Amino acid sequence: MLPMLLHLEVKSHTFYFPLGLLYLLLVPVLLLGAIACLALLVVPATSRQMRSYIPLIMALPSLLSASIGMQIAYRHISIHII
Amino acid sequence: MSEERLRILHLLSEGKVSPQEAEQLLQAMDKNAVQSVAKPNDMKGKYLYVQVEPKEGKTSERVSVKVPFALVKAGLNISKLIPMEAQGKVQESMHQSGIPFDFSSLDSQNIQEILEALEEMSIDVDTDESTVKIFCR
Repeated sequence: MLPMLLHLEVKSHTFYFPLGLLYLLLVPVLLLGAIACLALLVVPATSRQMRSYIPLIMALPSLLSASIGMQIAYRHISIHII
Repeated sequence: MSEERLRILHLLSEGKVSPQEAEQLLQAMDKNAVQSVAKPNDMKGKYLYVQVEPKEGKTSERVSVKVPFALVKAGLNISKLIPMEAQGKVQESMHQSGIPFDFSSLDSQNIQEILEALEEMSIDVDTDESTVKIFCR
């Protein structure tokens, strides 16, 4: 599961930012990326090279999901990925 | 290049396996690597902490970073999935920067050893201004 919430604390103020919105914003970029990948896979000259990148691309969401629980605090600012 | 990959290429060069079989073996290896990245749950609940605390009366900054162990593991595992051409370029530029890093030294056993060593690691640095603690819990 992807991280869904960003918990931000600044001094005594608390904010929650739904990361779903960020993912929605990234949908067009992902679509363009998918089309570019397909085009590269179809072209024989780049197909082999593109195929070698597929495992890396497939592993990226798991890297993102592994970031759940990460917390960074600096001075009075704290960021927590939930 | 990992040992398994080298062994497959060696078998191919000796003609013991066909190019198609070698490709299937390499794909199976990549799939296993993806699965090991996709299952970071064995490290669930463990975190790597880096804390910088100012000493009493000192004005240095307070910093606290909490990184899930699963993220460390996924990051280490993902390096195995970087294509050979890209690995070569990364290694070359790192060597030019004076960092002798070799991707082939990062096999699954080494990663496990690194993580086990990290679990037991605890570093305390005491300076006049602050104390730095790095530990796992």
